[in-house]
Amino acid sequence: MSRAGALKVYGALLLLLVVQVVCARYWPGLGGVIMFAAAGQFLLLLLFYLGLYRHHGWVRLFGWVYLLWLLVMVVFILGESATR
Amino acid sequence: MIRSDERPAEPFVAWAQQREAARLGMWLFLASEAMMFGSLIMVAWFFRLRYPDGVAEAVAGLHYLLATGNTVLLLTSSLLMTLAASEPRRVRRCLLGAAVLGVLFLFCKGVEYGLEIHEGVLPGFTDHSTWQAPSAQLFMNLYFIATALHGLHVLIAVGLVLWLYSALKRRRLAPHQAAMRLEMISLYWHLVDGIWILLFPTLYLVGR
Repeated sequence: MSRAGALKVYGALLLLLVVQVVCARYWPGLGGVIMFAAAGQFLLLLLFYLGLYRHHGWVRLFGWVYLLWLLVMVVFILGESATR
Repeated sequence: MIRSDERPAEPFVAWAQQREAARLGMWLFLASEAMMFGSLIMVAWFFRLRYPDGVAEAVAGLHYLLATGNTVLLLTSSLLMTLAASEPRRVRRCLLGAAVLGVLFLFCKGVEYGLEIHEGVLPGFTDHSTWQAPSAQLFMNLYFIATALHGLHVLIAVGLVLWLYSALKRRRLAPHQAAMRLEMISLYWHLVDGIWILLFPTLYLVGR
């Protein structure tokens, strides 16, 4: 990954962190926004720093496994909340 | 004459083959790590949904600004690890920078634990519970396990980076070996960072 590309991703990661902290500080009810911002950070890291965008084959497969695991967590959390 | 460290390790016949095997092994290992921390995050969310009042009480006592600073340190260290892989002339400087940021992360975490021990909220370091709700104590147990386990991973990552830095400085690695080890250690570092990215809002931010 180029230096400029890495810096752009870093800027996006920091921006999403600011979104999370501002939401937590001023709008504590927006837990969903905070977690979406965190998921966005994780996705950026997975795609660009872990290099999923430039790999194929089983590396990409593992990337999908990570994302599906995130999805499993979301389904669990929402399912638990809805069926209580 | 070909030096032995310029040939791939047995039983591989080519560097590309050895690199692919190393990548597969590393991603399998990272998958197991993601599952382990994923389970902890799911348990944290289970607590949050089942005992919202107790968890809110525990979360309100956490030092989220220190944790935010720690998140910035880890994100910056990930940037340096990416730059180390992409800029061969600055590898050692980037590795050293990432290791320093990792040590700073651990230092800040230690300060945070110290404050929590002083306030009597860290499990295992106080004789009496300061919490109104028992579920707050449960959440703090989970917080301590998850963050201590993550801290251990950061410590291992720092150790690996310093080892690579030392090996590169003494020119003990052939170019192929150095590139492969840098790639594997970067993968591990980024995953440790990724785990923190999800742990941070789950433990500190949501429901403050």
